[in-house]
Amino acid sequence: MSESEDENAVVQEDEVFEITDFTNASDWESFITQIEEIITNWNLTSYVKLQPLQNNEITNGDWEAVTAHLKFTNVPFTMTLHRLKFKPDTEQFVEELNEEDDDKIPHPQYVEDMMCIDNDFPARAHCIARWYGLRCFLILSISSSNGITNQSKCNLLTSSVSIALSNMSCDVPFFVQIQENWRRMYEGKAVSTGMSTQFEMVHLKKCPQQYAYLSGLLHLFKNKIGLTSLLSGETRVSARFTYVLHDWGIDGKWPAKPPDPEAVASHFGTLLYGCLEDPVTELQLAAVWPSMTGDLVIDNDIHSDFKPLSAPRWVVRLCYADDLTCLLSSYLYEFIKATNRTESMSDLLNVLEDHTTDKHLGQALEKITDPSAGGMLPGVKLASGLTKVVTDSQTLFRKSAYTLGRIAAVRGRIPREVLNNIKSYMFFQESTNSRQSSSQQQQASTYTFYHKLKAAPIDSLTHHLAMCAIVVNLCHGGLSALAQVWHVFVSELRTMLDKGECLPGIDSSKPDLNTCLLHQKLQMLNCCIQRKVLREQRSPRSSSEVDFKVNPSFVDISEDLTESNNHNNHMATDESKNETTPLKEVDKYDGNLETSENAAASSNHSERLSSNDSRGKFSVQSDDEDEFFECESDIDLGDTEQKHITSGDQHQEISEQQSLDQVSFTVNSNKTEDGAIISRDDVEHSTNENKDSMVDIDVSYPAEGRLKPCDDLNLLRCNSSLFIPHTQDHAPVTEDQLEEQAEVFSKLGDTKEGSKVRAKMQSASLRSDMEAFKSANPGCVLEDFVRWYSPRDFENGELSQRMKIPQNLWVTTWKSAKPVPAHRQKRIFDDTKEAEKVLHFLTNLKPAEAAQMLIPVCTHEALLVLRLASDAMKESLPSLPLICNQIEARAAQIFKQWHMYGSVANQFQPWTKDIQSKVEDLFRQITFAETMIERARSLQHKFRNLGDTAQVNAFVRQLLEHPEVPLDEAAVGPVGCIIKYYFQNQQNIVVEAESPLSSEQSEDVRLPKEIPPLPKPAGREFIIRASNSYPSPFSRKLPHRMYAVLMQNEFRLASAVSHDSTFF
Amino acid sequence: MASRAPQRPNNASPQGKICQFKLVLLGESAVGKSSLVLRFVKGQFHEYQESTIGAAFLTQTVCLQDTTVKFEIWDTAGQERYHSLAPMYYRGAQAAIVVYDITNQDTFARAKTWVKELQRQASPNIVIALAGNKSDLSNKRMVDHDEAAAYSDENGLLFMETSAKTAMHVNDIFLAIAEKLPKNDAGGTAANRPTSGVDITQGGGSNPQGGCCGRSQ
Repeated sequence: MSESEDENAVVQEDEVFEITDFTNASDWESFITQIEEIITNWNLTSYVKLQPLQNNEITNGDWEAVTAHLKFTNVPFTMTLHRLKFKPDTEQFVEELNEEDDDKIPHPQYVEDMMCIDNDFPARAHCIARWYGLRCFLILSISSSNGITNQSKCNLLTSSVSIALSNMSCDVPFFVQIQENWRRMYEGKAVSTGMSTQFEMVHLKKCPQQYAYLSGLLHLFKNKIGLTSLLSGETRVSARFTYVLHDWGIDGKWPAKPPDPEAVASHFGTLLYGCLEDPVTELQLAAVWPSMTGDLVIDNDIHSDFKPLSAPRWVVRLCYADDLTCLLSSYLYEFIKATNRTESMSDLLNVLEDHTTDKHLGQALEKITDPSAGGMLPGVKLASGLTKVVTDSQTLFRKSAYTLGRIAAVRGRIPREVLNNIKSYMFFQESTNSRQSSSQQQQASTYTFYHKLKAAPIDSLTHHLAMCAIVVNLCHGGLSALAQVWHVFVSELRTMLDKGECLPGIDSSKPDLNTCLLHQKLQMLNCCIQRKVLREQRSPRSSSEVDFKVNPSFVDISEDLTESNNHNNHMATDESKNETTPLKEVDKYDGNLETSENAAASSNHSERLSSNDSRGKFSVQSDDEDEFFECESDIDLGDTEQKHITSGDQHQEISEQQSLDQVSFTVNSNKTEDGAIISRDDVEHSTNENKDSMVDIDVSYPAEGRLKPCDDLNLLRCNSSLFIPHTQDHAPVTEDQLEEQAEVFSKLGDTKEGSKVRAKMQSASLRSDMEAFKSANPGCVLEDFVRWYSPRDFENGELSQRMKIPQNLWVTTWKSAKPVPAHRQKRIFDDTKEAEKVLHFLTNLKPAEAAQMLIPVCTHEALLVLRLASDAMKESLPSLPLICNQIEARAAQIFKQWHMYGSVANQFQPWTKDIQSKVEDLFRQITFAETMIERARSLQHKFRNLGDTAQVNAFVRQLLEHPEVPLDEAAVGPVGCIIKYYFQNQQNIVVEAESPLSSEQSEDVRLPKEIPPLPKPAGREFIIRASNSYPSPFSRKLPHRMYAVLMQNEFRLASAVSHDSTFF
Repeated sequence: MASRAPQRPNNASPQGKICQFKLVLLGESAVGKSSLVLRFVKGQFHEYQESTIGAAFLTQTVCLQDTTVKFEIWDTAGQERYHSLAPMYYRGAQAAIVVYDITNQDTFARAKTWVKELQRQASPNIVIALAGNKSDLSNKRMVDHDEAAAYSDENGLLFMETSAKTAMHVNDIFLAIAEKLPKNDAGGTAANRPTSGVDITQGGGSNPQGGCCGRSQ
């Protein structure tokens, strides 16, 4: 008792009434009560008449399923209502009154549905709906997986159902699932006014010989419903024969030309996409004969009227590969697998070292035996190199990552030549592909797609690295190959830094915080290299001269350097390829700075860039001038500063140099305030500090480091123009550094003290500017500085009030600032140290971490590829661009959230599980889109002869959007002809395979007559309907139906026989 | 007009979402950027606010109906010399307040160039607000309110005339930004680094001086 109440509580949310019948004694009765209550809850207790089913409504309509749980003793059962949703716009209920034409009692709804011929063989429906044509039915099934195999239990359940239906006046057919679940066996019952219907089923593995054709089935059915008369035309038969095409032949298979693994393995420019096996595994052609008079059709073991080529309707359905291997997805999945590994660089590379000893011999042998190894074409070399790795080209792509990983372990090292090719791809910028301009130019804003994804620009060094990494990971042996590439990459960065070569494909700007961290780091490194180059280009002559005086042993260097200068002059046209001799020796005397590149720190000021060829030839001559100019003792009073400054974009000539216009040399600086960096050594700085007596007005030093006059301003206290000095550049920063800085700043809090400290920390730049200003303007005062630096703080001839706050940082800094030109100041941005930090950061990354850093770049590339492909397919897949939009938006969201750093700069933070699963999910979406594209491309290829592209696209679109597509004009229509052609090809192959003996001599004789155009049907379905008085000849005439399906391994009959329950 | 519902300060119910947003203040020097922030964060005002060097960093939390918005405020120096640093601060920012001084037409022109730069360089969905500060000095007004309002309409900016001195519209402009910011995605969710050292429990509207509550004059 209490049991049933519990159940009710679960089932009924808003219980209005509850019948607690205390006369219920047995479990069985309480079970029936539960069923009845569920039926009540679902409002199935009245006979409802609906509009007749529309054509194909069972397929096209929306189905709903409602579930309730109940128990028989303690065995749980599930009761489900499947129902075609009412269409809200149509009138649902038919007036029942107007049906009274005769004395006839109208048939209940389910009978009407069963007899409706417009929904035979629905393309997509629940099996009960398919077998019986019902739009509303109940199913009772046992919740445990085993099913009910005991016949008496089945009977018990069926009886329970019958009783409940009768008690509740419910005319919805009610099925009980019996036997093992996989057999999909149902027994059912429906009860209505004056009649009831019994649903029964036969399910066998093999088809009994006597029922293999329609004739046998008709006989069976007629006997069952007591129809004895042979000539009655009251049986109607619908039939559907299905033929399977699984071999598309050479003309139809897709990909038409499978990608060549070697080509894939050596293709770094873009990611490739496309499947490796046909996504369309089979085509099912159904020939359909709608409702015919059963007795006029002949279908037996001798003759059949069912000739598919002349069937009135042809319908096609496609089956797709479940787990399609696609290239783009493979790149991504394999890459994400690499990101989860924990090996360090040394783990991986040491293993390789162990192998190298015996490898060398092997490689040498390969060189001899491989004819193409010595070839001149790099392409050929590359390909031949790859064959060593990619031996089994057939299976390569089908293998899981596991296998690829195994290959890596066995193969070990990427051949040197391949590695060299990868390196040269990364570091030599080839002409770029056109995608960027086409896909991104429409966006006027400089905020482009790669910014959205926080990736890196196409064809940047970062992008090239990512491409190499992802390709190598897929094709050259997984993580170990990745480690090698990463090693090569970082080593090359080191070399370029040492040589002072700017990184190719990294723009010269400061780190772009809207790109990925790795790209920012490379930009940072590039900034450092640029500054180093600038510094060294200034230093050689001066330092060597100075050193020459001090220490003759440096003569050789100076010669070296002169040589390199001359060299520069020759190739001066190309800035980026400028070679600068590393100053290895020079650095020896510079002990107080950490690393070798600091040599230049001791240099003097000599601004010269090799960038302009027209000036190059003067450089030697100008050295003398520079030398003099840079001497410590230079007395360079105001106007004598001779320079021709070319700063950045704006070329500004300063006219005051006439006095020295015999000096044709022009200083060409491509950065306005680059002067910066250089500082005379700290020693000199400290000597200056002794002159503490120096106060605000001190004209006793010569002006130095002037950039240009500031408008027409004159100094307030003395009669000379106010000059803007050369100043140090602001330091470039990367995101993680900014984060660290923000962290430090925020930790200081918003107390007064905190703010002070914070301001002090940032005042280095202000101090530097003040010192430079003082140096350029002997005799200046703070007011002069403010007039240039912060003009709004100079009002009515005096400092603003806030500048007058006692002890404010501006005043105090000004007081302590010495006149030091920028080039002799200590570097604010220590490029040497920063470069080392970047390299240290990169060197310490595990390969898996490096891979993580590259994921946004790889995803960016994949999305570009996907977008192009989807644009090309949008006629067939109109929804795809929308899917792409969604994927892109999702990717942007994920990558914006993903910080690869913590609160300490230059420390990589591996991704969280959350980010990882989001990225994986993103990749699944990309795979889905790629699969869709491949299906469409495959179908386009298969039906390319259908007509013009628009026709092909329209048909492919239909195939993709609907489970089944009817063909115009069946077998003789355009699609029908193509399909017949494919079947014919498949038949030819089958026949040839079956009769290998009849190879040549009899070919012309046999082919035309023996090969049928279609194979044997894989399945045959029949629906037989009839009206007859049942159970006795005196009963009311009621409709009956039987569905039969005959397949190779399944034989099923599903009959619905109605009884007149009023009159016998 | 000046007083909206005062923000519910930081005793916010924790069940709501917490979104963290980076906000940057830009504008000519001496227009009152630091004063606006000081007013918003601490409810204070100094007649002579020291000229910012580099950039100052403060945080403040405001509560909307169901979300708590934590602002990480980067208050930049206005001097031209620091212009090249600005991208560093506004690149990752979800919101920006461009400030000008209503008593100076040049600062308004400068504000317009900042807006242009943000529209070009910053992330496309950045929320930009234009603040005409020093509205207490309306007798010295040089920038017409309607002109600035029309300009803001054209460019899709939030616009208010503010006074850090009287606190007029200071909270409102930050609240308006908080409301306009998208709460569903990226910027939001729990901060990626632990809450900063700023003691947010005593900032803002809970301040007994009430300067921060948008209750002005």
